[in-house]
Amino acid sequence: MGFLQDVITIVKTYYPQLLKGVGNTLLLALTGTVIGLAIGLLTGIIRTTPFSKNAFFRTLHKIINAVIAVYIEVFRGTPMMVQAMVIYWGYAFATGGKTLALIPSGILIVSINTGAYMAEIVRGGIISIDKGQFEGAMSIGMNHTQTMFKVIIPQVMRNILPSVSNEFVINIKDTSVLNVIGVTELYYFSIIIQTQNYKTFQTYSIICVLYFIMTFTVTRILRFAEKKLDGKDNYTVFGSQSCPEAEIHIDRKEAAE
Amino acid sequence: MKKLVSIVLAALLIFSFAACSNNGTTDTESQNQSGVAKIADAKSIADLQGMKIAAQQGTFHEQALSQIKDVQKSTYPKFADLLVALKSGAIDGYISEEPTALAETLNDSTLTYLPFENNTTGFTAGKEDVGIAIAVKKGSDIKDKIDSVLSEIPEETKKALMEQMVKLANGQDIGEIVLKSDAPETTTGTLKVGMECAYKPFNWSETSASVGAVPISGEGKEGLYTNGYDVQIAQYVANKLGLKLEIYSIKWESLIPSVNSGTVDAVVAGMSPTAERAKEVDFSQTYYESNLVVIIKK
Repeated sequence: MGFLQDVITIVKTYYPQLLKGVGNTLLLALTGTVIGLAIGLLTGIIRTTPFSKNAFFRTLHKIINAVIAVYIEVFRGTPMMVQAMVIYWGYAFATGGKTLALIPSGILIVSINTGAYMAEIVRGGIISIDKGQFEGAMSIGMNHTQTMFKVIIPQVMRNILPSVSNEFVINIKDTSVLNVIGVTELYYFSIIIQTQNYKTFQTYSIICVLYFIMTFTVTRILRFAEKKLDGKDNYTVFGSQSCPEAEIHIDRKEAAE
Repeated sequence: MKKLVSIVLAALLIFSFAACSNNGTTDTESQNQSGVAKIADAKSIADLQGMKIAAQQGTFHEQALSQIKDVQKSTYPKFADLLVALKSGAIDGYISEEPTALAETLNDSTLTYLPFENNTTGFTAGKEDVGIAIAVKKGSDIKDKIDSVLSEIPEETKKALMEQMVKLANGQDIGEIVLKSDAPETTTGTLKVGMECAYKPFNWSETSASVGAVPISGEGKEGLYTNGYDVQIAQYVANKLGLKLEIYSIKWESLIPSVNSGTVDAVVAGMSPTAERAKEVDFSQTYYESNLVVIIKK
């Protein structure tokens, strides 16, 4: 029972630090994922846009595509911990000792890292949409921009939601590497608590549980959001009061069978 | 079916936890009888033959480790990892400076250390290896000022201060700090100091201020304090130079970059002035010299 008592004592003594750590971890992960998704959407849309007939815009588009490709490969291909060190200390050397504010630089690092993954997720989402959707939109006179924003992106958002929630969960856990530059997220405090009380196993057990609570809550919330986006299982496409046989009902459960 | 599987998994989980805790105690007992009993009798580092000894990566301790003949060497990136490794039974002992060893053994009654003396029974080590000095940017004019302040501190005061800090690190009451200095009435600037704030008893972090503690500067560090031998020395130097002290918590591997980039003015982090480091930064005179010892389980 010594273990349980230790755990209770640690939680009682250090709950302000633990709560602050949880708060900062969630802040970093949430803003990082949201900004990352925005970067992903932007780059995904740019990269799937057909080339313009105008030679100038075509060249510009190709240059931007190349820049995006380099960005994705570099940030997807290097560890976030190393990126944090390079960005934080690189800035300090470049400016002769000025340092970036810790939480904003943490958000920046998580965002651009997530953005690189999201770019591929969004691109995958766009090219997975059936060609018929593009053709249908074109045939009713929509241009590319309208097709994208009115037809394709709403479907993409629903389809990539599981991947986005995946990234979110990964971010909650991976922000722990930001302790190398001193960002006060949950893992940073676990080191402080552990060096104060020498109770390594007990401290990290608490941290484990806290991380799991965060990730589990987030996955459940996003699963709920997916369900909401899917809409009702039964709905009426065409109703008729005079002729019930003409009505068209959709029942997803029946359709699945 | 799902319920059955989850019950089986939960049972497995509980069993594995129970199994782990049992293994833990039997392991230590068996080692107490064989390996550790022998290691406790070691009178010099030559007696450590065949033992599993570890040291922190990238420190002089790592080089000292190779002075022991026929030893099973291993290194760990963080100092705190060594304690975990020792407790888990992965190693028989690890190299540490005497003050750190004293602090850890006071804190944990299952530990003790082999009190080797440098250059006699212990490791061969020079001032640049086991002394600790303040690091400043190359060519910085603050070095001479720091040197003149440090040379004023008598050896006995340093010893007494270290003993106080070891006790304080262990949560004991120490009364007034022996190294006294008055805060200047007007400060002419700030002295930004970098340290790990995770290296007892030189510098450590705490969530409530002990006697002589200094708040850690920087965003998100509100409510965190640091104290220790380095903190007291830094406070003394800052007071004597008429500067306001600001302490930043920086990872060990980032300390030299932080002083080179100008993020901090000085590094007071229990850092030894080795030749490799001296290529990157200038060092003041040493402000403590300690024996290298080996921490073991009782």
